[in-house]
Amino acid sequence: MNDRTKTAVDPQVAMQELIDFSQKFAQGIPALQAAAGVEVGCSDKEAVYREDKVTLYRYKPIAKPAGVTPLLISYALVNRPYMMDLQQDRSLIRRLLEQGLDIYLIDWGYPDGADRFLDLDDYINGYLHNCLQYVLDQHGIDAANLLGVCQGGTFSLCYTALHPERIKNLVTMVTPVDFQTPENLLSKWIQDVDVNAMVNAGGNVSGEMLNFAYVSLMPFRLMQQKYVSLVDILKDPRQVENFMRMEKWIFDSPDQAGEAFRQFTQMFYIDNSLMKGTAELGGERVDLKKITRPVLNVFGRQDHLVPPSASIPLERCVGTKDYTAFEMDVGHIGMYVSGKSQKQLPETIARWLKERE
Amino acid sequence: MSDTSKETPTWTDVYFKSQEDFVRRWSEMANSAAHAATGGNAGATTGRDWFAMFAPYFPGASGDLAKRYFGFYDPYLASSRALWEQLSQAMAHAEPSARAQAFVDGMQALQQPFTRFWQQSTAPFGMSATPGIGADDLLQSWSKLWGAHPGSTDWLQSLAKASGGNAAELPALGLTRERQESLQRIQSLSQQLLQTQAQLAQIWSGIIGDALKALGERVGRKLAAGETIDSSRTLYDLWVESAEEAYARTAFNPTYAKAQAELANTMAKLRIEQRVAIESVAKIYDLPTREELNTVHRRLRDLKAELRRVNAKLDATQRASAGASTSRKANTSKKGK
Repeated sequence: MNDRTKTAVDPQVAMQELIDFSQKFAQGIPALQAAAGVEVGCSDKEAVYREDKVTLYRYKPIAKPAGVTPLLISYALVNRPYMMDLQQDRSLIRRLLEQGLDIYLIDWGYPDGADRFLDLDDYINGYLHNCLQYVLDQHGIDAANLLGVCQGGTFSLCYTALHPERIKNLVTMVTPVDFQTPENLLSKWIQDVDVNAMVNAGGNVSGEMLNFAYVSLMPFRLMQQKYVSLVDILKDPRQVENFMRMEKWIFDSPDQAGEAFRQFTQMFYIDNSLMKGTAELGGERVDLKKITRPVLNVFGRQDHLVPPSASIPLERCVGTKDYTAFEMDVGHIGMYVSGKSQKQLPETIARWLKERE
Repeated sequence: MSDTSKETPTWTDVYFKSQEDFVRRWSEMANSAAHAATGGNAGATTGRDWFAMFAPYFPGASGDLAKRYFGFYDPYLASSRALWEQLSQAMAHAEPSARAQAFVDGMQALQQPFTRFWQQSTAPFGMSATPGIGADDLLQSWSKLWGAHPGSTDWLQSLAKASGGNAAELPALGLTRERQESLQRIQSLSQQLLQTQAQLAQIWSGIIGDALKALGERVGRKLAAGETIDSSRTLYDLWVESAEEAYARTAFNPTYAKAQAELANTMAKLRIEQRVAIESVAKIYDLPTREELNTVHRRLRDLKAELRRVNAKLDATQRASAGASTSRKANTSKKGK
């Protein structure tokens, strides 16, 4: 055998791969069909307060109460909050409930054309404030624990800075504070965008447009390879169901109320006002130094949406002397659903809160 | 020097044959599925529109997924086949260094097809960035609309005729000059949009070129070391890795950010102008416009915000009053002791 024939590519290989691929896909069709009506959200909850399109849920306990002050979760506007309670084995909320915590969750709903003039003051000093007030009233307490996630974390920081007396402990999760770090590709892209024109043109900013921006961060992986790789898991209905659930969450994105989007982009992405201390809401300056209650800041080492460098600066911005950083070796989505996160994060949050009760 | 091409297995023939088998398999499956669903008479399926055949069997969310899946399959197949072909041709050379060089050289030929494959891949994500209704479409629709309104279209038709498709350069004159200017702005923005799209397409072409070059170097190093790649999927994954790296280098560059922003900004401005034009027609028919709705929504929002401020002041006053009362009681109690 000469050198060429020893190392020549085998046409049979390509053919076999193609046949395998087609067989796997054909065999996987039932799994795809079965996953058509995939359900999200696994823990029992009750709607306890509604205002406009916003709903506040309280989760039913599943363990002996830990005697910890209730925890209100403020999720991002840009995706649906069921990511926190996706399925039995991928639910941060369920794990927190198992720790005996009393959990409330804000669902911001799906804004439509009638909500286009809602601004950040409405969301933070309005809806978030009213939801928290409900919790305080129900429990007869002056301050509750607040967990802010992603954009909801930024909201939580603003709220806590404006109303520090109402927050007992603050947990921020994958929360951007410095919006202009070198790794932040979204921030680089938005700097030259005429956000006023974008909002004036559409009223609200569509969830699809935002999703397009997110998948554009890694387009070859997220628009192509991901779907080619799907064939590898089609034989396992459970994995297909997990894939479909994630797919639903990723693309089930509410439109953004135009005015709130305009302000968020201008204040945080363009002016980087949390870092500069120039943010204002409802005519009041948002001074993070006023956050003197304990803060737990959770971020993912591999997060490409909110890079660690965007979250880490929180420590030097807040006024508290009780600051804890918790870095996990996960990405943005892995923070919600990875096995590592399921094991470590709820326990860490619960322990941190119990220690400060 | 021997003619290695004659010794190389005619793998492409085999490969194409396997594709035919693949297509036949799908057709049979589609036919049997259709047969089961309709109780017979399933022989009419052509196999040209895969997803149309299978769509009824993918209800709800999986339909969207399946559509995308079918959409991605073709470009994946085409790109892996093209890469495999290049690898196969490169391997026809006896020397590892010659194989490496052949593969690297072969990458240049893939620039155009890979740009096309990428466009196909992104189609399900609406990446073609069209501005919805085009200015020409709008011009025609508008013209028709005004055509239903006696005596009002002459200026528009004259404008279109006189401009020869380039009305943006004419000065706006006369009674309808404001409307002429509105149309001119739409035309001008439409042209600008085409330019920004072309600019971005050029950048994307560069990304694909850089990615292919990076892939050539990556695979070339393996081939030069006497290794080979034994799977078209591996080759495809290497392509994706190379493409992401090439893309990241460009995407972090201000030139890309500016081009992308310019496209978004132009689209936004065009939509605003189009809405202005459409709303001017709506007003004629006394139909509600976005502007009117905005006024109402803004008033409602402002009222609610005002109510919130009043409530907050009221709460603060009540709290202060309750605090003062408690304090008075405490003082009275102390005095009483």
